[in-house]
Amino acid sequence: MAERTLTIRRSSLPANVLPVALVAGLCALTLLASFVTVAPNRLVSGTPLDLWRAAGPAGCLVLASLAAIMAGIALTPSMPSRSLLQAVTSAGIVVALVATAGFAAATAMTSTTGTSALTRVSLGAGFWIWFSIGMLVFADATGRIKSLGIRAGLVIALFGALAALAMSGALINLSLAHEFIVHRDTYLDEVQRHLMLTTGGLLVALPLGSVLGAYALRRPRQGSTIFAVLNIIQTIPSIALFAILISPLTMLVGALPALRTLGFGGIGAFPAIIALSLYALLPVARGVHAAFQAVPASAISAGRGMGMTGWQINSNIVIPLAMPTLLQMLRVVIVQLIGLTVLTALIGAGGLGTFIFNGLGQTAADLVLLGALSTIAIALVVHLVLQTLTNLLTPQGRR
Amino acid sequence: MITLEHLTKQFGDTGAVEDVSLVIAKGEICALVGPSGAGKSTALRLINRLIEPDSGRVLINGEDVSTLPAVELRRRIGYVIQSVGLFPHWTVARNIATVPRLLGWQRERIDARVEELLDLVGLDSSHGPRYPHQLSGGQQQRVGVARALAAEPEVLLMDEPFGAVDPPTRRSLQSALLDIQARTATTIVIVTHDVDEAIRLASTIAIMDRGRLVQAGSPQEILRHPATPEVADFFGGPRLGLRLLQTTEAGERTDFGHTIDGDPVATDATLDEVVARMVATGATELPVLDGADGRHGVISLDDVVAR
Repeated sequence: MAERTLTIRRSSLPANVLPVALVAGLCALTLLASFVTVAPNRLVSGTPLDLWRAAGPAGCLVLASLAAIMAGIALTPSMPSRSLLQAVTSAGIVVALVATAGFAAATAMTSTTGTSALTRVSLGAGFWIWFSIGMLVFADATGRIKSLGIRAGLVIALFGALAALAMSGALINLSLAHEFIVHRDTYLDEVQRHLMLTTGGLLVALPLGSVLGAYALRRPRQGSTIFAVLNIIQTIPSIALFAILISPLTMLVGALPALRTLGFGGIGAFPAIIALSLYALLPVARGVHAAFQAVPASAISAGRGMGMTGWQINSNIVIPLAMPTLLQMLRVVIVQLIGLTVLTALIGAGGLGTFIFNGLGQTAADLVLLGALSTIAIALVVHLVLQTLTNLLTPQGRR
Repeated sequence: MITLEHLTKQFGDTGAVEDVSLVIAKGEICALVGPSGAGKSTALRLINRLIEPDSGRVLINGEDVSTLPAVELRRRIGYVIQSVGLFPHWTVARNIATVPRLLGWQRERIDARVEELLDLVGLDSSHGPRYPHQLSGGQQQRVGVARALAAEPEVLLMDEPFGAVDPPTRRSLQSALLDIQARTATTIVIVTHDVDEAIRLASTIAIMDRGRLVQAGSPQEILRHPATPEVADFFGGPRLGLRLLQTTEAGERTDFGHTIDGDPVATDATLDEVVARMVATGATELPVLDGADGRHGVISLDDVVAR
């Protein structure tokens, strides 16, 4: 009885008021902050342009009405398919925002006095706050949608719309696009290299980590020693690990010059892959350990008692029950490695980190952004694909 | 039906089962009883070769089980464990269908058998598409029993099947098992450390201690003529009289021919139920009705106490 009165009271007073008010306040504040900044060239800091001046009345109206619709959806009690509407509206905000930024850049390039080919229009704090809030709401709303198909459809639609926007040339005047165009020749190479390094680390870590995890499962006492060592490796700062590896690997190559002809050395892809795989060992071993630990021993002994062969026990019981945890582990490891691979640019292994560190060296924020956003996008795609796969492969009785 | 011949199994230096010989007749329930570590479960697992003996052999219908492929043997023998061990990622129906699927039965035959088994263990067909975690502990164990009986095994092995459920659920599961056994005439070997459960279910009780078979016989025999002081202590103790009441049915002590007024007890009710009724109603005589042939009779407190 007490519970029922509580529910009634809760629904009569929308629980969303506070977060919506906070977000609205935040968005209002960004009207004062810079939406884009306009600089005479890529190296100096520019003058900020707020949303009103950057987007013009039309752009402001579109964004404001989308934001109002979203607030309305959030505040309406018992709204049917609220999550879907929220996801669509927030996706609309994100797309409109990016389009507005592109439009603002185009206007700034043509109308502002004293512009030249060197003028750069970069995204400002106001843009990023709106963008993050929009993405956050989108992620939250899609996460609440039960149907996997609708979820995937929404994500693909958003990414598709953003890609279409970029292809249409509407964003060409943003300095991010400039940086991309300038580095177009090396961009795909670096992406490829990045993926190669990540995959290399993964291919070394998966078998080794699996063996360690499986061994820890069989011998719990030695297992805790293994995990202690892997934990220590994990605590070494990544840049330090790269540095630590340089001298022994250089010495190794010095002792065995044949290795150098195969492309091994103290710097480059070889130590990068070693360091990446060392970091991935712990999560892989832990994941394998946890996945098989979670398979109930009673189910295995029941299977044996009912006359399943060893192969049937594995294919019918052990693998289906361990699969969700294994895929989860794989997702965490790959996403972590994609991020870590950025640092391998420091030891000359290349990858998207090259753009980031070059950008830092030249104080070209947009070049940094090009590398960072690309890395995030790759990690996000991998995350979403593996997440979907995990959901599909999780047996119903275990959801 | 099942013959254990001089079975011995050692784990390291300790003898888990030492020279155990036992004959279990077709269609009976045999309980292996004893304190923990007595070797009951080991003895049970020697029957379906989850454990291989160091020496001795097991015969089922005169056939030495070691001559059969272990996997094939186990598919012919039902097996129920305390932790149930339902496959959490399969529905109830799929769980029950495990052995028929392993045996490659036709789809229609499996579906029909699953329906039949759900009914046999006292569940309805709406439970079929559910998942194990959606069932209560008692229902899960019913599914466990149904799964073990799926391929109509002649032998059912149960390793402390009702040890993990609460007492009322345990009683209803025991009744269900007696009912199932009466309908299917399956030979059942059940491991338990619960003396009352053994007396209630078994026609033969085999008492084990430290790997050895101490005594085997009917519940009556064991209660009246315990082989050792330990058996007397384990089985009887201060509750000996009450347990003897559990082993006798009202019909055996009823004076047929006349009757008195009142709500009659059934002839197959055990004497402890009769005494319970007498204490509850304050009567020293109760009417008895034989459900099978409609005979009426009377049972008195003196009849109950008489040896």
